[in-house]
Amino acid sequence: METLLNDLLSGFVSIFTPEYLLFCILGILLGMLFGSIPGLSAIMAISLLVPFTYTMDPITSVVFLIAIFIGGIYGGTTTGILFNIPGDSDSAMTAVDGYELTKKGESPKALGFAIAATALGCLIGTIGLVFGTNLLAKVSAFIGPVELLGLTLIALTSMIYTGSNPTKVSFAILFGLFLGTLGIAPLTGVERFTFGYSEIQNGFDFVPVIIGLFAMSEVFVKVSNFKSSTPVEKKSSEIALPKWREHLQMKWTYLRSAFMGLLIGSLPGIGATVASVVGYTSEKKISKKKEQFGKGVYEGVVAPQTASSSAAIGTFIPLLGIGIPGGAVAAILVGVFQIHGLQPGPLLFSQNSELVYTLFASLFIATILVFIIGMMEVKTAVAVMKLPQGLIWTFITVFSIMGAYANSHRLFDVWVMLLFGMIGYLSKKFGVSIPAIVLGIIIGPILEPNLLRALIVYDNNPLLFFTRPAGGIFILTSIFLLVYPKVKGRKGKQI
Amino acid sequence: MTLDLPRIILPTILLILIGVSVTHIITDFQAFLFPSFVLILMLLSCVRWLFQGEVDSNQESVRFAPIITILLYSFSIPYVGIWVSTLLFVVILQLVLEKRPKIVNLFGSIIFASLLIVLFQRVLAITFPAGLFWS
Repeated sequence: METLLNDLLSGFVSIFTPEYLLFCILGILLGMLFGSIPGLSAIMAISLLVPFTYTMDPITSVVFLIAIFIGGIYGGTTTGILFNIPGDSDSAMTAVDGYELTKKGESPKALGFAIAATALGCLIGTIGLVFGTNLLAKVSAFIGPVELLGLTLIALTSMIYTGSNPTKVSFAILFGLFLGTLGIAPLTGVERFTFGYSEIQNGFDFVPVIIGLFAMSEVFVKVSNFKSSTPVEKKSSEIALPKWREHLQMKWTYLRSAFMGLLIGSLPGIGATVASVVGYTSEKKISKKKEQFGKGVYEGVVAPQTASSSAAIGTFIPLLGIGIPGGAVAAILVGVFQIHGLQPGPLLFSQNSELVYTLFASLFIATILVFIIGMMEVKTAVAVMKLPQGLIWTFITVFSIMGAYANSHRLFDVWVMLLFGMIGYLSKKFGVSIPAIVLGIIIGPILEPNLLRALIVYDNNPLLFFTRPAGGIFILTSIFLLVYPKVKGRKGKQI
Repeated sequence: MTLDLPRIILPTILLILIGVSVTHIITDFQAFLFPSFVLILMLLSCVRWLFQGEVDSNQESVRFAPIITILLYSFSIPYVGIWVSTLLFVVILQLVLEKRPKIVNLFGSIIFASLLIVLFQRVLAITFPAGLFWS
């Protein structure tokens, strides 16, 4: 415990370097900006700005990208509450009651509760992250290939379990896994599915792929389905922080939602959107004002916002603890770590502890900054909504093309980005989850070598995997997550 | 125009890839075991998707096809560098996004896009390939 506090203190000393602080503030501003423009999101901002982190040192780049993510958590909420246009799916539940409150003329207070919920959710999420990752990193010494195989399977199957259409989510994950197999095979070194193209000998580069999937796909959506934007209504861009007494009256809503969100977020593959839905519905069930939910009640803003903020941070627990990303942003961060020659997981604590603890400290600082900047951001969000669409999409297009090219100065990567832009466009058109594809791409290279190693160790007999108790339980859990909805569905039909 | 992706195109591509993978599995079991497994599962989920009876058919695809063809072509014109291709992309985008495009907005976007490219060149020290126009 003492060592942990000392390391955390050194992280705080490190984060107060002007460079880190500057990038932390810049990241939050960019995250909020992207989050508040409908169609754009923090994940798109991260994808587009990854190329700018090549020249940065690893700590600056990770602090910068995490700050964008934190800023984005709140950014989407502002426009959701004011205009009923949530910036992303994570803030959709907050917009339900938030917009109703706006219609009643109570938007300043609703925004005040939302910013407080974001900051508190992030704070509790960060505390959970510090302790959770340390605990996981210690346990990871006992994790072998079977356990890693089981954990990666849980990450994938829980995404299928929580997805709206399990078939399409499965397809997306499998597609991602397949993309992860392109290039040289692990353990054997044999080339797979390169069809003679030396450019994909090591598979597709990660940066053009994510830029294509998250950013260029949105450009294609706009091109194919453009509707002139309706003029933004005049709304109050005031924000009023509720009094302490009002916050205290909602203390249990804050705490319940934050812990629930943290728990959901820390499970690999589930993410913040599910946490916000669970936070909202469970609060509705136990609240004394349950009839007022959906008609404009502050608990309806606080519960989903706290849960999603806490869960968003929670997705980093499996990433830093055992190297398995818990969500799409965490999956992108794996790519960023690898660009800088780092491997997330327990080894990061021993080999790059400065990075880990500066990252923790940056999250604490970002929580405070998001509160301060968020108070001033509402006016900007309203102004950003009025920006001409042409300028926004010019910006996205140039950043996508140049960002893909900057990766390794090859026009081939621009083609890859355009190809994945098309794939992303088709995925959106057919309702196939893009985060699931990204998770598959990142988890594939973790899953396959561990599967092969486990098969070698256990004489190619998968049944022997169950001789490892923890690994067996993980595999059984993933099977349960796959089978349970089907069994439940059949029983439902019989009834 | 009907874009029947899950029913025709995907299963065909998947079957070809499974063929490639299974052919190789005989010579290199370890390297092609996982991809074969993934591809077969992908085909199964694709078939399930097929039985969900979802077919997409709308006018979006019609409008989208020529635009994307021009956009992609701009990157393959010989002796035209990435800078010009990007600006061409931006111009086409503007023409599509605005119902009545204004010359001022068009030039505004070109200038804005050029400034962004310069920003990229400066910050990331990008050098465009030699021998290409505007390199």
